[in-house]
Amino acid sequence: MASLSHSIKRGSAELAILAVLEDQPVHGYEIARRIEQDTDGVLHFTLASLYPLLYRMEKRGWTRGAWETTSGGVKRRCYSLTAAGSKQLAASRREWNAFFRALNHLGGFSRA
Amino acid sequence: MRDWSDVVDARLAALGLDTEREQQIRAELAGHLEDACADAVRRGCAEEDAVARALERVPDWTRLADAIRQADQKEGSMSPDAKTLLLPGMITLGCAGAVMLGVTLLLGSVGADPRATVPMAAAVLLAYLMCGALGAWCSRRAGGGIAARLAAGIFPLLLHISIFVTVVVAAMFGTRDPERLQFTFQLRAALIFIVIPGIALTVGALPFLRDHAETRASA
Repeated sequence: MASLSHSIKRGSAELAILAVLEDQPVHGYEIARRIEQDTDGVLHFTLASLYPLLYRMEKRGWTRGAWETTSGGVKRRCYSLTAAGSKQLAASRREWNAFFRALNHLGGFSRA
Repeated sequence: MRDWSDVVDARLAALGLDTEREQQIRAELAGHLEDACADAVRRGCAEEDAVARALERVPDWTRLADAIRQADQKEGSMSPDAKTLLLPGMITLGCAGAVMLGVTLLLGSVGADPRATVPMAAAVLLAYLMCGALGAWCSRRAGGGIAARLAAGIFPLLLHISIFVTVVVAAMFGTRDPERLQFTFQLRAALIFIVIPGIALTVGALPFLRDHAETRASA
């Protein structure tokens, strides 16, 4: 059960990050801020949960990091989605949809 | 104004990465904390509160260092395809190659004894079932999807197909035996050399195309 819980957490965090990067390149703080804001704080990142994940995703070729100067004039490492990342995002969305449909089918949500 | 690079340098242990990569990571983390602090100030926090809020994002610096170290090194040496497909596939191929070598050696010592044909064929099929299972299991352990597990399981077919093609082409151009030029001979050879081993490998891989029992039970 512990490993499932861990994989669900990681999978949902990866999906959230990929979804944020779908629109435009964003740096680490902004990724975390948007996810927290859009999920009303349900998904919350510490640096220890965000950056290792970002580095893994970059190594897998899903994202590409590059130093850019922001509108505020400071340098930040911005992450953009690669073609492999877009494919992964689409696959993750399908998987999570199937997962939630399965839970709905079992009545897990309505009876909770 | 606080220098967040100093904060990170003082608290984050050495990551053991190459110098440039380590500096980049430290600069990135410092930038994150700086943005968090500036954001809190913009929302009306006093400077001290904003700093405290930013630092709350790193409850444990040791854990952060460990997590980054692992993320940067763990998956660095091998791509996901190499881990989930090529490596398990090569293991399976090696085992299947060993089986074929064993059969060849046995045939050399037993000769064409018809009594040995059935037990030997059964042993080869059983060995191929196990090879297919091994490939799919290794791929599943490495986090491979269903396609990668199946491909790793039937990986030895590459060897079979390459040998078959070589044999057929050699038969077409290099033999004077009319039987070998017939389509039925080639079909029979394909059946014996590709289809049957392929079925054995696939059947062996099948149980491992599902996810772990724990995941199924929990879901």
